[in-house]
Amino acid sequence: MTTHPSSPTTTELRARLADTFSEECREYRQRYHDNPAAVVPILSMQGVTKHLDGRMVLNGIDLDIPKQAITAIIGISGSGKSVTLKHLVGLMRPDSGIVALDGQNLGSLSGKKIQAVRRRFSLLFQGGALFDSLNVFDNVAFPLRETTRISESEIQTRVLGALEDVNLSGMEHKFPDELSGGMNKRAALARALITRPEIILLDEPTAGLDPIIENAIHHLICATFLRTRTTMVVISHAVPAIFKWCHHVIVLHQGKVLASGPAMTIQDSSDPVIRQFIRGEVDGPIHIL
Amino acid sequence: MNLGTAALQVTRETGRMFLFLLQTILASFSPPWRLRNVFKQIHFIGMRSLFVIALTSVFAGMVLALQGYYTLSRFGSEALLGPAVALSMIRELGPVLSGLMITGRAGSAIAAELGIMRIREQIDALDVMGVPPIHFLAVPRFLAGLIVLPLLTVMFDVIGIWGGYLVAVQLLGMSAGTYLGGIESAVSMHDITTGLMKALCFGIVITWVCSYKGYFARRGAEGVSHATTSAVVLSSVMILVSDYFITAMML
Repeated sequence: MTTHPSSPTTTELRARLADTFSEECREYRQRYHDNPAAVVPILSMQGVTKHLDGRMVLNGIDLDIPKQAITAIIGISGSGKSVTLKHLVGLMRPDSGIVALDGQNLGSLSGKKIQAVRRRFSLLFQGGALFDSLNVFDNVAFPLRETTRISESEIQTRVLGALEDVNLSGMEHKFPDELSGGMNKRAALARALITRPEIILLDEPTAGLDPIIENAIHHLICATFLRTRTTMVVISHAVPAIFKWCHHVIVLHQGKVLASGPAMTIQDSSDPVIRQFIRGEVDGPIHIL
Repeated sequence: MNLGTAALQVTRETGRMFLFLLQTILASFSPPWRLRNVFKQIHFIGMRSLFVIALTSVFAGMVLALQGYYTLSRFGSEALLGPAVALSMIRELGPVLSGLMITGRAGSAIAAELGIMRIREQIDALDVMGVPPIHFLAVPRFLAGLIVLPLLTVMFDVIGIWGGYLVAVQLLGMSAGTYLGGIESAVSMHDITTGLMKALCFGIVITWVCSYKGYFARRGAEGVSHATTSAVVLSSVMILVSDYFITAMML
């Protein structure tokens, strides 16, 4: 295979992607500082509380998820990130407070209405949640077969395209237990993207992966965003890397929102809790040991 | 745990179980009809249980004939062995033993499979995709149970009676005409209907209880193990309890 002398290499493309995105993030911060109201929220939580097994997990969460931006939710383990994500998609109902999508209270919906709303979402679960009895192709095709009426040939085209996007071409016939952790996450990501949802929620997409695959997945998320402009919410512990790959950051601490704003602003925050978390220091206001 | 808390817990659990059954029944009547999934479950619950059903039924019939002959011979009523074996099989042992065997073989697998799907967030994944999990997971198993249990029971009855025939005719030297003729004259349609009605109810009980226990499994591998054990125990107990009440009603 020959390469055209002027065509960019993959490395150059990746660098260009990072530059384009960091320019976007700067613009986003400027826009947010000039007029926060100009950043339109698509999802919001107001005064949400939740108890699980007698423990208060969410203690009055107020947050907005900006439309057509990548939002990262960060915080120490047990701060309520995954529970927040499950509230955003309506998998959990709050004890009190409101979770709203485009101003519509998700708590007031049930049956077919909540199913219709959920089809606007995709959720990448922390463990991938691929179906063990289906191979990679059928897993990725599953939401198309179950929720759309498109033809099998169209499904085949889209699934193969999605697998190529996540660099899993040729893995269609493998079963989830034959995949590595990184492949499993990428297959789950392909399934999350295949329906072209309005909002994609990603629960620790890089947890347990090596730094190279972690970086590759961040590139993939970012490239997908630049291509589709889909609203994305990412829960991540990949600090400080995540600050490079999102527009907006929400910091959760002890079931409350500690800070929320553009990534660059949060990264420069002087709050001792945020500083300790970003630097990963054992000593500080957060007592772990 | 005090008595009040325990009573509340049992009431809540019972209510949730009946709600689950109600949701499953209602979902059975709403499209899309996932026939492929139903056939897959029929194959899993029915076809793959054939061997165990055949094996248990032949020995159940044989031991019934042996014990029956021993008891009836005390009263000089050996000629009634055929009807005794057939009626015991058709009215009681066929549906109950089939139910218990299917609970052990397929019910435990249903609870474990759904339990693993729950703890690996696959059921949540269905929910997020807008695919109702009860419709997708519980309904095909429920319908398959309804179809398969009566069929397996019929098979159990036939093979069981044949097992009894082997012992009575081949081993104990009874005449084939006496054994089979007695069955023909003693077994009525009502006996067969009673047996099939029981099988139908046990089909509901097994798929309902085992799907419910797996569907709401919690806390990792230990939770799945607990769900599977309690699914098998509860289904078995419910089969025996409901057997008494169905018998009492249909006598």
